[in-house]
Amino acid sequence: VTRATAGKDLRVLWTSPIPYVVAALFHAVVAVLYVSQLEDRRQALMQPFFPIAGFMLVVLVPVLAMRTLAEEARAGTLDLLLAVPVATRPLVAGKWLATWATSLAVLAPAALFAPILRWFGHPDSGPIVTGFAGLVLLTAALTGIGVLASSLTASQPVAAMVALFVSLALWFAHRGTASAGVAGVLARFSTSDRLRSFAGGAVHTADVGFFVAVAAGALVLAAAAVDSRRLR
Amino acid sequence: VRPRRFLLVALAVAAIAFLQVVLERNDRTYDLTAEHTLSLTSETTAVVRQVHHPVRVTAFLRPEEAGRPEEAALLDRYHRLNRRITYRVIDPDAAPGETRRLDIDPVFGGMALEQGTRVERAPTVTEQDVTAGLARLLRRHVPTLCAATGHGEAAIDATVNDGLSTAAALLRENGFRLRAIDLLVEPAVPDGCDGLLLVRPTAPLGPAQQAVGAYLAGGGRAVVLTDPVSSVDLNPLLAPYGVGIDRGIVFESAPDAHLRGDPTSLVVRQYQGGTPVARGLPPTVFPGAQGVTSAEHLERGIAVAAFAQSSSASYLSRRAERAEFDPNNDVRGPITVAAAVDRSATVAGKAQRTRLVVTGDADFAANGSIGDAGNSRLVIQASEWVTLQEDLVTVDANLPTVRPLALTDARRRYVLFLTVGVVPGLILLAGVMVWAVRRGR
Repeated sequence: VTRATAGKDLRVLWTSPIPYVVAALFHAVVAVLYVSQLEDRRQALMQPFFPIAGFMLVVLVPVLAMRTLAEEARAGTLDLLLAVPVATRPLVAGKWLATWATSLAVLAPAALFAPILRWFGHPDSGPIVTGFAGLVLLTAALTGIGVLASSLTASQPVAAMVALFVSLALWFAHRGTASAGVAGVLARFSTSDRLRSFAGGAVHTADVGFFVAVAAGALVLAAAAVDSRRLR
Repeated sequence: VRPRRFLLVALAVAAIAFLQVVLERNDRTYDLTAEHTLSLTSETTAVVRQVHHPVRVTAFLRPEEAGRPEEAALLDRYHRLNRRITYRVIDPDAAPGETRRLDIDPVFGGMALEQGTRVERAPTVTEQDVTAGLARLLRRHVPTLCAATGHGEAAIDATVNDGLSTAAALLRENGFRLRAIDLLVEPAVPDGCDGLLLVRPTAPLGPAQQAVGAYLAGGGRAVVLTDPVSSVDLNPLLAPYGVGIDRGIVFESAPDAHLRGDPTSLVVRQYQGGTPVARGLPPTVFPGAQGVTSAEHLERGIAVAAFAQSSSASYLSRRAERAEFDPNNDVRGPITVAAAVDRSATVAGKAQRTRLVVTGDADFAANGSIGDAGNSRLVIQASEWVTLQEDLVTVDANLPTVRPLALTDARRRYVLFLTVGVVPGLILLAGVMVWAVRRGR
């Protein structure tokens, strides 16, 4: 069920203009901002790329994920699906997998910056590898949030807005409050803080776990939301 | 059915959260940077493992300070290595009570390390300062540096340009006790001195020379800062340890090895000899230095590290008024301007260790120049090394290599054309092609 759902959703996504527009926008904006960073720093560093790309993913992944379940609910095909004995979790996992794969395909051309940097300098390859690994994990978590938001409503714009709000809240969580104790707790939920470690060249098992946990938690809740629809 | 499903979902979410909490508590870090810049050095690790009682580090950093996340990450590495070390980062403006209690300047910020009632402070949140602060907390003994007076030496309470009040304040901040001793009135180094500071005496030492000689011979330690302006001959005092002073003044010709417009103000960027005195030391500035020589044949048990030298384009001029090389009188560079001496000996069955740091310039430590480049750190590291606190001076953070990028205007335009033009263009073209194919069907 997971594979069939993922295959079908991939076809639907890539025959719509959304991933192309999102990818073109992503690369144009990221390239302009990153090259200006390189110009300022005059160092063969990939590190400034990752927070820029991370923030763009925060904004754009909800757009990719908004239609996953919301569109099916609006068109009535979700109810049709739920009427037959199809397990909910593989269905939700398939939708998440298709959107995640699409997000990664959108991100993939950014790897071009690594050979460009090697051409003009001698960058440290460690932070490049860990930085991209961080983006892959961030995308997994953001896609999870997007699928969850999409499972809660039949309106794609509402799903995108809810996912964007949650993703932005997590991105800026470390800036939430002036109180040191609360800030310390909130910082643990900050996706940008977690991504910064990857961008610097370090892999913390807790950071890997965090992104996986957000994605898994969101999918569990999304499956529950779809299940509740079946029960109605 | 609904409550059961709700319970199952809640359990699943709780299990995920629990797993994450376990991961947070048992976090492992893999540093993939080429220079391991995100890892603490082995020297720091050794110091941190000695912390057996809780230490709380308070860093006073404003939210808008550029390096705040990196400094917090550095403190987090200490915490992960030893959970007895806890830390907090607070805004000095938001916590005036804490800044007052811990005696931190609210304008410049800094860091305080507390263990019980003991507090150590440091001006910056760097690996060197945090580790040095921890090491100071760990040691029980507060070393006393005795500053010699009575023969025109630079005074530790003098606030004039060539005085040592800034150096003295810095040493006190770094956990030293300072004491002035008048060797003219009482020509003997008192028992309580862990090290002697002999800075630019301008009058012959007389009986004090014998007293200092006896102190050193008995395993004493000293920082001896000589200067071209002083004509006092310290060679008899230093000769038993394989070092001496070559009088004159060093002229530097290499453009990056002296201050602009002043060929006698040497800038030393690289250090030799592997001595802990110079390990991790930033560039230092010596405003007018004479030479420090080392004997060709050293006595058994003596090791001399000539750690600071001028460039090979320099020379030691015997006549300061002549700023050109005289092959008959002058000495071609490189000229050693600072050396560290370590002598181990067994006297009457007891091990004795004499340590000396000798420089051909004293101004680098004076109020007028101690703020330049790494001069203050040299003063601290030399004092720590002579008083046998090596753990404080061997810390050298794993610093990243500078990786210059040859990004010319033409290359920048090419990169922008490729990444802003070609890549998004190709993606949009692919989208249009898919749309056209679908429309064709």
